[in-house]
Amino acid sequence: MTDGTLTTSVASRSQAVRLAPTHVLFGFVAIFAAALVGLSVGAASIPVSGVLLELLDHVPGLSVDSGLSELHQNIVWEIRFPRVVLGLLVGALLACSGAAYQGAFRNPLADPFLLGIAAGAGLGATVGFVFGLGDGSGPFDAIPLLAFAGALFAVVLAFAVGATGERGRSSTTLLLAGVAVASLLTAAQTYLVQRDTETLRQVYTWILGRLTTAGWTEVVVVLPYAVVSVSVMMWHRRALDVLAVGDDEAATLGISPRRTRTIVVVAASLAAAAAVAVSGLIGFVGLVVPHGVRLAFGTSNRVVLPLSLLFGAAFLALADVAARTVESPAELPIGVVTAFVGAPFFLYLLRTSQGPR
Amino acid sequence: MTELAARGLTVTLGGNVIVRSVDLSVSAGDWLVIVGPNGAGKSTVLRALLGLVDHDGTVSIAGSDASTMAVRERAQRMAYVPQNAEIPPGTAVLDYVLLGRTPHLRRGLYLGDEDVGIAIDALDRLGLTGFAERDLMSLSGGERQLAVIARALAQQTTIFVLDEPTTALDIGHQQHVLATIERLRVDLGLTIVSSLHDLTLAADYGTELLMLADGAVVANGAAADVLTPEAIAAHYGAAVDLIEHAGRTLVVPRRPEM
Repeated sequence: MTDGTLTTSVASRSQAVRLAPTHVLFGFVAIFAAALVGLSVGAASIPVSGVLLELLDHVPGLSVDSGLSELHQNIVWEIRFPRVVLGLLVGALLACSGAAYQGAFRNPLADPFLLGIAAGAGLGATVGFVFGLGDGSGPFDAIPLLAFAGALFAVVLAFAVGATGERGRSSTTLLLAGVAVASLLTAAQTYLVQRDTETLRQVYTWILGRLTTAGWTEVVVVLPYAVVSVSVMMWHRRALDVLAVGDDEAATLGISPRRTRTIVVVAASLAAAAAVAVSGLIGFVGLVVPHGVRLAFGTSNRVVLPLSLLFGAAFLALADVAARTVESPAELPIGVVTAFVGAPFFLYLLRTSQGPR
Repeated sequence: MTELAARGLTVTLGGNVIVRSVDLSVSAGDWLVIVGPNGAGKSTVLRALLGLVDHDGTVSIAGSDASTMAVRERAQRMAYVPQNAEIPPGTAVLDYVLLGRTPHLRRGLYLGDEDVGIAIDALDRLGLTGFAERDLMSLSGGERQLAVIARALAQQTTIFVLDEPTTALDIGHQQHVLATIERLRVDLGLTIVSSLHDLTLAADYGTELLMLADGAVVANGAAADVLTPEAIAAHYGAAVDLIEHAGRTLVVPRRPEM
């Protein structure tokens, strides 16, 4: 290679898609801002500046007087902090799994909620409660594992039904299958609960989610699943870009489409199930966030997956703020907030994306 | 030296035998053109060579059994230019060409400066230098086909498999694309297997021809031996004249008597 071409290639390096550091920074700023709002806003209003100083005070080596009363300090650290952290985690997981499903199925409308994954996780957890297999505490309790199995079952069922037939890739077919699977699994769940009313409360508390009462226990439950599933999804982000040219071409480019799809779908289902296990049914995050990221930063999965993770975290933390302030002092379920934002957006996408892809 | 060979290649799809016991071999640096009427199994043979369909019989690449190769290893040796390449939305031409680097990437993930250099070199060779940052969607059909070939070139394989590379193109772009492939073959010593509809072009570009009908090989060899009026009548149901003109063989359909 002559010096001339070497210069060209280095200069042109910037033309190739890469995750821009400024975009990542932007994502972290969004997370930080959302967390700050989440820590200040609530039944007891605590000034943002005070929260900021309080956070600084906890940076090792720094000592700042935040001016917050002991009560407010306790609210920030004991009540709001774990909830904000859990919201960030759940949002990151839902958005990232949505982006991963969209890439793996080459379907812009794939979403953990719409594919029936949440319903599957709910059924799995219900089976656990009804048969007394676990109580939902700790990361390796039977409940999250059963939720994961249920989630995976739902997505496999939806994809098997929705992707059969000629060319099989119509967005709407997969969605309809997801709706049908969700209804079926929800019916099965209701049936189980009705037969065993003792567990009714346990099941519904689980389904409605516990962001409200979230503590560090929930964070610990979700964290190992989050680390594993996110690592796997990130690891395959380039492979998903290759899958975008279709299975045949991907195979001739050295990617095994079936294997890649299986791994990514399992990881995304694990992420979605873990999120559902601690937060209940929260829809549309996996749809709204990746699409927003695509519009703002480009369509390559190398960009969409990591940025969905960051902005999904910020998005859900803010949605949680809305959930607990709109009807204050009462709290709205956070799924209601995301549905208000997400459902109209989904209808918009449905109208603008014609047929396959 | 034989670069690519198939022996007893048989493909059965849904109980129908699509390809029956096809033998073929291509020497390094040659261009084998597969011709045959619609539904003769041309695309399926190419797909079997690429390992995209289950088949009986063996495919060997430079003497090694391809069935023992991992997907990635095969992709380092054989590149594919499909009839209608899928165009992922919102993809810049350079990024598309960089997909060709996939089988060479460390852990399948990280593009180095060298990879970008190779992709840019491929764009240069195909006259697409100025298009690097353009959205693939905004290119014309002919330019897109060149971008797909650039992607194959970035794959740095010795074998190119092209399925009807000129089907959707007008006569000018057909000429340009085929001349480009021919230039790459000569300059880089590529071994090429392609299907082509146009028999005149098949005779022009193929160093060797293979005619398929109903999934089986009915003729194989030099253009003059394969493209006979009898064979074309028997397998295409077409009445043609073969006209020798300026050292070329032109296959011209006759106008039916009214």
